[in-house]
Amino acid sequence: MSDTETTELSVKWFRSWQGLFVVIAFFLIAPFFLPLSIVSDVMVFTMAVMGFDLLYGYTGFLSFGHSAYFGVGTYATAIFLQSAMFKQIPIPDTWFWLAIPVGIVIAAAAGWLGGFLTFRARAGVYGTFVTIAIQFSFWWAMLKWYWVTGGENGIVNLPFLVFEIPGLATISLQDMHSAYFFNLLVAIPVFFVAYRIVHSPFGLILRSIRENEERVAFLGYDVHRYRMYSFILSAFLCGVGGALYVIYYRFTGLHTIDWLSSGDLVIMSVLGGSGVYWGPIIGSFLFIMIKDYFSLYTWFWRLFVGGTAIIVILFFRHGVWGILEKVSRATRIRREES
Amino acid sequence: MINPELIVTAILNGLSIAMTLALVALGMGLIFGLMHVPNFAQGNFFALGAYVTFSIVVLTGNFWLAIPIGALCVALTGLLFEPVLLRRMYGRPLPEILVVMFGVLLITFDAIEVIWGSVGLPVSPPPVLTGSVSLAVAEYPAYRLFQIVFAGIVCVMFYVFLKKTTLGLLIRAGVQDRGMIQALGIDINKIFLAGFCIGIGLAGVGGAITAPFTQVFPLMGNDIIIKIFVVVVLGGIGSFRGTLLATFILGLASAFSALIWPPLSEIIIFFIMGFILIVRPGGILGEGEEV
Repeated sequence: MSDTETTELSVKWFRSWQGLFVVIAFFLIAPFFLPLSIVSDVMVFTMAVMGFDLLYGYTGFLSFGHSAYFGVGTYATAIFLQSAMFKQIPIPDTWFWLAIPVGIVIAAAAGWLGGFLTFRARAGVYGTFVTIAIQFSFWWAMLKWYWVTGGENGIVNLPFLVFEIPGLATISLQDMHSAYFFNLLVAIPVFFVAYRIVHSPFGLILRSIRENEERVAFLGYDVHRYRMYSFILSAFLCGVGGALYVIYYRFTGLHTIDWLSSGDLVIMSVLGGSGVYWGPIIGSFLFIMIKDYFSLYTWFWRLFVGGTAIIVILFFRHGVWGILEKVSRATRIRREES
Repeated sequence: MINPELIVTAILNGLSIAMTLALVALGMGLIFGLMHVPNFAQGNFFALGAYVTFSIVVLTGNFWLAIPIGALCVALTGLLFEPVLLRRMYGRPLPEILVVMFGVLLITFDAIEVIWGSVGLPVSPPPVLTGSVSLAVAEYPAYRLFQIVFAGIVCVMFYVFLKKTTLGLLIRAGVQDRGMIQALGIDINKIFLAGFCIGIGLAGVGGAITAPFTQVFPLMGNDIIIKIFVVVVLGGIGSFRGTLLATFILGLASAFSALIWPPLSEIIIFFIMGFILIVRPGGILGEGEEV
């Protein structure tokens, strides 16, 4: 982030509501011209990448184990739904939506634990390694705790949500479209909260920790505490992504908590542009398109994903956002000259 | 209840885990110390060493030839990765380097699958080492004893190389002060290239000697790299003593916990990491770092 000019320009763009507006508009319109499963994936991963980016793009700490919190979110939601279905948790069908807040809270709690251990490690690259190790322990726990988590098969055939409006109607989210739009209804306030977080004074402190940690400490802020907040909030956002994933697909599995899917989050983030509010949506959209396209033709889509990551970092450091901004700056200069 | 046979076997198992981890971790430490590049793909270079060994054993039937050729082939891939990719990354922010190394991990992972397929492949150890050796209280597979001794010899050779040879001297100088060594008129890029090749070559040796006793499978790199991260967090990256100490603790812990409950051996190292991070955030040896 040494390119301060880019940062300043982005800040000016941020002040407007365009970012939030574009994100919400995309998810409202996209289902009409793209396959629903892709749009749903983009939504879920935009949420998770926003969480990841809060820590990486804003606070400047790279976690390579963030799908752990996404995965814990999916598993907590799925386990809750499953136990509710088998009446191990005595709640009526219309209260199954409780699984979403439960999943999110458990993911955030896991984030607290993860952040606590991560920031115990020495500065530099060590914290990143700790995040990977934590990720692996979660993965292992989900694999070995098979009587609850289904081990390698994951949790399948979960119930769909049912809502009852007293005296009016009973709505069940059996249909994929209704599940998607219900998810969007949950997601919009969270997108708004994420927007508010990064544009608040709190978000400013996070960004200044990224730029110069020591100076923030000199100003009297507790850097460690703010980092922890950032970590927990990012786990929270990942947890929202995980919960919505389960609501849409009605299953979860080890692939959600895999180390390599953490890498996917990282690549999505740098692809779209990190530290920018609408970077995650661009990144997750492009990533899912690349992955879908190449997995149609070849088993070895990782080759192309890895190649994309390397090319982006080598030649387009600020991702697609950086390219857009360069273009917009060039046109602005040209307009001023003429 | 305490059975001397079980104890001895567990200690030897622990040593054999530790020595393999040590080879891979020392290579990673060398690369990080010299170039400040955390080599995520180190595990896949380990797997590559095992796969080349497999191919050589299939082609020639000679295991003794397979180990050096496996290590050499891995080291030679460094000639591709270092100048083409890593050289562009020196001095960039650490997160960017990590993302690029993750890209290398994905590419090498799929390249291995493209070449050798995703099915596990068996490598037979040479006939001399197939039996078991009877120690005072226990029978122990000869191959694993060989693995411990051989990896130990390679570690010592690596140490002697660093401390006694000119290239080792230059590498240590490069770790300490990159600018100064350039000022002396030495081409730092050549040192980096040599360091990277040696670093991944060590992982290749580790892979080559591991091949006969586990099957060779694409995910074997993934399995070991995760343990390497724990070693590095505990021992300090680039610290010779710290790395060895951490690998011994982790290797013995995982061997002994297998006696209690086998699945525990996979996860115990993460508990140890969590525990040490809480009581000694600086790692086992503390903050001081040496190379």
